[in-house]
Amino acid sequence: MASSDAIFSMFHRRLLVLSGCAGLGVLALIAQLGRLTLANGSELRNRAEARLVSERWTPTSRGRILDRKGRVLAQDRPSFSLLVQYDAISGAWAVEKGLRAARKTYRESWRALDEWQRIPAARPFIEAYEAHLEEAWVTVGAATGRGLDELTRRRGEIQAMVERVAANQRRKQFLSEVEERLERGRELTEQFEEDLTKRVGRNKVAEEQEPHAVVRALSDEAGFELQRLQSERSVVRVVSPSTGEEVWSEEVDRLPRMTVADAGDREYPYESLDVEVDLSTLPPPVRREERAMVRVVGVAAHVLGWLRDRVQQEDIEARINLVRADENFRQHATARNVQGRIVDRGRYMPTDAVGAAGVERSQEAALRGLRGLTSRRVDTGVESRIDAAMGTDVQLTLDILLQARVQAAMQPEVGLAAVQPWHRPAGDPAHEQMPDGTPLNGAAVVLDVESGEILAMVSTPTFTRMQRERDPKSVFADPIRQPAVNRAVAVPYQPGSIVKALVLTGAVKLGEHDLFSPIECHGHFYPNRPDQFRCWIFKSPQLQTTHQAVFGHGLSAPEALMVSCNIYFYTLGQRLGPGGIAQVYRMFGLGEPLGLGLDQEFRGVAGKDASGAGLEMGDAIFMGIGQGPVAWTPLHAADGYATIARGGVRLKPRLVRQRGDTLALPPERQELGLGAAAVDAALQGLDWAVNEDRGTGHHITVGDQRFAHFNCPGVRVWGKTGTADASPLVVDPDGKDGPEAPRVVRDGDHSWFVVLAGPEGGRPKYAIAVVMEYAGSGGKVSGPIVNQILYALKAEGYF
Amino acid sequence: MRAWLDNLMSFSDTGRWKVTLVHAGWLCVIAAVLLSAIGVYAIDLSQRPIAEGAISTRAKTQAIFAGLGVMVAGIVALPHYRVIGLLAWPAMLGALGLLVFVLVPFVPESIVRPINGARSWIDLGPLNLQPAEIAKIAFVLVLANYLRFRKQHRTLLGLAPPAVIAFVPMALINLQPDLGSAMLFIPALFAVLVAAGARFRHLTLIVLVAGLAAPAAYPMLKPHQKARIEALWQQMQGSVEGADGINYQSIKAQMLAGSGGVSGQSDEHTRQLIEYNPLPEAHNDMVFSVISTRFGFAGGVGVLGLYGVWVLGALLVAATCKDPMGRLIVVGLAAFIIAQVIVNVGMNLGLLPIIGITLPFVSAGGSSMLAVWAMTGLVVNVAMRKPVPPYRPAFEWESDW
Repeated sequence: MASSDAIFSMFHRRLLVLSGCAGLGVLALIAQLGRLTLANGSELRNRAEARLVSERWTPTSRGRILDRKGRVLAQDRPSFSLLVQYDAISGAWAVEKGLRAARKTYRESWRALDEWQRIPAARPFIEAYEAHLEEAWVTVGAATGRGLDELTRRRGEIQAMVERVAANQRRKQFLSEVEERLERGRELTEQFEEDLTKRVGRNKVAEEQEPHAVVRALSDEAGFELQRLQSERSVVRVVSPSTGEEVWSEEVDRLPRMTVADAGDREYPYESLDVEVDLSTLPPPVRREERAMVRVVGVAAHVLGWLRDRVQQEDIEARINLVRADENFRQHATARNVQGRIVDRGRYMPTDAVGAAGVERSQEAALRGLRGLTSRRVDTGVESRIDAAMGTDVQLTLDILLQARVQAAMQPEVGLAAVQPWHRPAGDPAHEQMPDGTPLNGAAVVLDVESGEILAMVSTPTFTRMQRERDPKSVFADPIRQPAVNRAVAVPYQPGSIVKALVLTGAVKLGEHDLFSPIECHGHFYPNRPDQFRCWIFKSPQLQTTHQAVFGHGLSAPEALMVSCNIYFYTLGQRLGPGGIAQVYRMFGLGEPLGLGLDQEFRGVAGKDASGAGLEMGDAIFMGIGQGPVAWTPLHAADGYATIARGGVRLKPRLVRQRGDTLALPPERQELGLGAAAVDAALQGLDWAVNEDRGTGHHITVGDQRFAHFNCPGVRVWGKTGTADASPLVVDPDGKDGPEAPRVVRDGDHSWFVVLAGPEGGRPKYAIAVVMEYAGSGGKVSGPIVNQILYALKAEGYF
Repeated sequence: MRAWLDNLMSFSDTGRWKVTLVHAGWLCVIAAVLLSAIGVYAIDLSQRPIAEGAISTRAKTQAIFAGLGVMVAGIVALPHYRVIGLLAWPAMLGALGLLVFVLVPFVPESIVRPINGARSWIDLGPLNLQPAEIAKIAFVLVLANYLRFRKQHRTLLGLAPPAVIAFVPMALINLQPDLGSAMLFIPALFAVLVAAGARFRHLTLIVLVAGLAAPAAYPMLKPHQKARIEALWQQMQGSVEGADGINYQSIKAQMLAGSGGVSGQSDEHTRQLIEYNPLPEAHNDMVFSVISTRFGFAGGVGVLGLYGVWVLGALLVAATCKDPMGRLIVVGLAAFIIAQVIVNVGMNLGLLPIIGITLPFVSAGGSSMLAVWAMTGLVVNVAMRKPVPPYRPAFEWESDW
């Protein structure tokens, strides 16, 4: 056969086909090899080399929170915690170690065993490790002085928590995979569900792989003792039950899977204070000629907030976004390790503390410290070191001692924030829900007029850190007292009459009212409808008169403020109309985010919905006296009054003064253009309201006794009372589905008092707003508290 | 006696043979030597984190077996392959006997030691004998012996006997369980049938039917096999879910393979990377990733090229061989080698599920090393013996289809 014929032979053709198939296979391999080495080579190399770098993080501490005078409100204190890996808490460690030991001991015969035969075969091994673990817990119990029972209880709590989280997570994963499968149009088979259950069961949630703090705030001695024990080793031995020979021994940590970490406990030095209150300055019915020490706890708890010690996925994501979004912050927070990889030194590690509420939460980025990093290439020994940097201090505008004094004035035991017989007229139905002595909840805000800084912000009742940790229900789930709620910024209240000063200036500014044209009060707004839109003086069962009758002429603007005439301000409401009245409220900041960084800030609303739309003329008339579809917070009230005191310049209230060495930017000055005449008339009215005998905020009448609201020497006050409608507080003791009917537990009006205060003969320096919930008349309850706040300001050197 | 042997060996041939030392079989030998050397080095890389000091025990053992392999190849090359062909059936029966033996439940573990749950090895002291390796060679010999003068395999029914010859060892190996090794018989069977002139339409039909039946067979797989396939599927869709679990080995292998880049890492760095990125079976099934770490894309392609040289050599031997049995032996052996390479490298690079197939000449393992060298010896055996004309044409039929 000629050699050229060879290719035409079937066998040779077929050899070519076969080599073609093999060639295709090899080409696929080369393509994939190229993808891995050429396309992804450098990334895969980095990943592989990452393992050659050993990283050691050095701890840092969180920044401090200071008050305006530099007092430390929150700081990290060195404190040891015992961290234990979850498998040692649950006991899985002993089982795994036991199985491993049995496998290594029996080798060949172990492999021949079926799954179900292995556990009994490994029993003695598992028991040996269990005994070791148990002994470790006993040792920890003795070293920490907590006792085995408490440790067991704590372990149980952690286990229950982790199991709950894991079950939740697994259920979620299961459902999402089932859904995905159904979406793809594939059937659910029993086999699939069985496999999925198994697969999902194998996945460990983060909490199962992390250490947990079993004992916190260890004493230094206990911490050092545990650190010493931590470095000790002991031997686990297994003796064959039949021969008595030792079949297994292994050296393990004396405290397996446990580490002592300097957890840096957060302390709040001004959380509890004793404050002296001069009881001789109180209204006569509760006045005593003595000075009392009042213990206030949980001072500024709502503002400072708290930390939680469990990092959540959201925290990690928020941190990543923060580092990504802000170039400056990235430069500050990241570093390169020895491999050149960029690492965020402030990234969360499982047992880190995270700001969970208040300033601790809103200033998390500044407060959080940056860890130090020592990274070393294990192959070359090259090392790089970056020192830890403490978190940035955050200075607040609060004066913590002023805050404590304000809170003291609002303690029920002082007498002002508890129901008194003279607070309400006899026969008031509210007595039924709130008998004498019932503590009253409320809030107070003190603003510095010149700067817009918040000097004090109190919400009562408050709570302590201990109470929140030990008895969270009493803080978060008390439906009547609601201690967790920051009433100064989070609860919507109707403004009531305190808003009249703002409505006056707004109406003049919008050109809807001539300041010099008086308005007559005939007791009711519509001439022929004496049952609607009435003046309080006309409604009052004792007085039943009109301001026209009292004054003998139409009221000027200051007169109307002094006597809080409803008809005057109904008229302004009508003149402004729905659009105008809403605009006035918006001018004073309603609807704008407060931006303080506190929790659940209520931005205020003037209108039937958040947009302020849907108002009718009836609403506008009512809103002229601060009733109807309008709500704000004590902070809005103080802010509005401060704006008037500044002659119509609005400065957004602020809480953070300085971060590290950087002063917070001054708030934008917003000139409202209220006009000097309108502002003067408003201030005149506010002056008369508290300083003239006829003013509604001038005095309290108890029986036939009268005594002035304000008696702080050297302090001049401008102010206004307010009484705001409130819907009754209804509590259903056994939930919606329980047999018991819902019950009204609080009823009546909210009591407002807002003042401007300055030194005798000077301009207003401070704006103070107080609201007391369901307390009734504005003057009687909130007025004396404002008076005590003036004393507090004086005691702290503000006058 | 001589006449009887001649008769047996020649059948209708003239019985005259010429021996030549100039042949393509040397390509296989050269490739095998180079691959074995690379293997010894790669095993050492996987065993010792620093280069200084003595070569690792595993690498030393591998080098010894490579030497033994060369000797085995020489021994196998010496007698005429038709004499060896006489031993085909006895060897097959022996291999089957051993395959049954490893499955016998009460054989003590000192003799049959399960590794990773499979009863595939017989402990002979220095050597772990894997009967499946013997079965592969015996299978090729039996099949070549069976098909050399027949034409029944040109009919659909006639394909049944070769299929049965493949099925028995496959079934026994699958019971160990070692599905991967069992599956390698399929490409070998097909390659031999193609070479022997089976009709393409029959083979296509079988492939189609098998392709349609495969999904039905899926539920019959063992849970661990399913898990591996699902894991591969997951990985191909870009999921990193199994990175710490079922896909751990595969993802680690790909990472190391990729980290070699274009031309690889230094000796020292490779050892460090492997030390700190522990890869299960790095010296064995996963040795290709080690080679790629050390020599990169260039080295990986080079190693594949050496297999190309081996296969090319074998195919040249087949192409120049006029004897039907010699042709089929060489094609069958080449098919085993190349299939094993594709499956092993495919699983190193994340293209195929990880199923415990060694890389010929390179992976650590005495039994496998001796087997692939014996195959090389057989190829040389065929290459050096040429029948003297006249002879009748082998496997030349009228139509491919």
